[in-house]
Amino acid sequence: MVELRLPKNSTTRQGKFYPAPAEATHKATFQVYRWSPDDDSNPSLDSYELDLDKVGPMVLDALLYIKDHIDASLTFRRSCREGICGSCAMNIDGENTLACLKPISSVKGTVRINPLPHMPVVKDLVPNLNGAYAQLESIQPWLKSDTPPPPDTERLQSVEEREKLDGMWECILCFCCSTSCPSYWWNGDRYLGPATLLAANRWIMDSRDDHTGERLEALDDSMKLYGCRTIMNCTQTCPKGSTRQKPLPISRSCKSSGNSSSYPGPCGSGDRHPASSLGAGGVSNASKIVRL
Amino acid sequence: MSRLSDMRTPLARAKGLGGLQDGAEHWTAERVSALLLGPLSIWGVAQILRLAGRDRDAILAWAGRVQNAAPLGLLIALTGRHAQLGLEVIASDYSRGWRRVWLRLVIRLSTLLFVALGCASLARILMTRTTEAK
Repeated sequence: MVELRLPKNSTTRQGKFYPAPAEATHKATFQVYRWSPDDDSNPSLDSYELDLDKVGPMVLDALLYIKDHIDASLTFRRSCREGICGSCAMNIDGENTLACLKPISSVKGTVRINPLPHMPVVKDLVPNLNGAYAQLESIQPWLKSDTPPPPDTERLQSVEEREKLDGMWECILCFCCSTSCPSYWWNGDRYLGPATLLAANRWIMDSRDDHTGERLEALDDSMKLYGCRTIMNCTQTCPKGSTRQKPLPISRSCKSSGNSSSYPGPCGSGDRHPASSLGAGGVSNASKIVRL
Repeated sequence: MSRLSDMRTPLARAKGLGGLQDGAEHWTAERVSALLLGPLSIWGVAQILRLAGRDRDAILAWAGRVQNAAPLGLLIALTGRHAQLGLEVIASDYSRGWRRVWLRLVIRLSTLLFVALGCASLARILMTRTTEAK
């Protein structure tokens, strides 16, 4: 449901300011969203001025520096610090991305850091993604085949069949795309969002999976899949956007006929196909079920 | 139902009622009607410009010809259908529960009324012209 204003208890207030040491010459300010469930106060925006000569190059390095040297209570998720686990997804400088892949130097002025938008906050920069994970589970993102595998080898795919999965298997489930989508903000309980739809598409297109029809039927819903309004924030924000230019073929007729020509898609954007990135709109457009 | 009174698991909420099988047809109809409305609307605007300033009888004579009445009827019907499909999408974004049900009902009835009025008027013109021809 559309919400144009923040609820009262979500409006932010100015928080504390932590100045850099006097001897610092190369400084930058990081404005970080802080909220704790332990008290009743509204979220605050704390500002940390850091000496960049002592901090690594990425925004995650700055957050780790703050946690290690300034404020140990700052809470955020991180793990691999090389853009493969998706844990440190957050909104930096107005864009959802991975803190470990976002260079501090790419941000002009104050680096504004917020949790992923429109998700319940657990604490500080940690969003509650239970709903998104449940949606992912609901599309059963695993191989479903009633045919037993060959006894002496793995299930085989042709090179062409395998190529159809490119641009989809790379998703690291950081949910930057889903949480950048206004349709998901407003109807996230019914619309599955880009990340989940990309995963669904990935298994629909897999030649080894023989539950394609059931998967398509489960998605054929005015909101689950068709809640996509082709806003395309998903394709803009995907931090794994290296596959953005690659069109994905998908439709019921497309798979059954083995036709891998690109599906025109509702956006009609040739160079930036809706399914191009790992983003939401991209995915959902690509997997629209066309039964012409 | 507020989230606090909803004790279902996140997975149960995500699965919901399953796929309602109403998405693909709606999506396709929206695109097909838009495609057809493109040339039809250009034709309609061109005819309006061409007929601008003519008297009532001349316009009735124009509408009474089958080669004009057929695309005009199609234009009216497709405009109604396309409006219905588009407004339903807006309703599904901006309303919930019973409000959405009522809103969709109002949208369907009002667009149907629009098409019925348009087509009935066209039929009247055609019938009048036929009578006059006799």
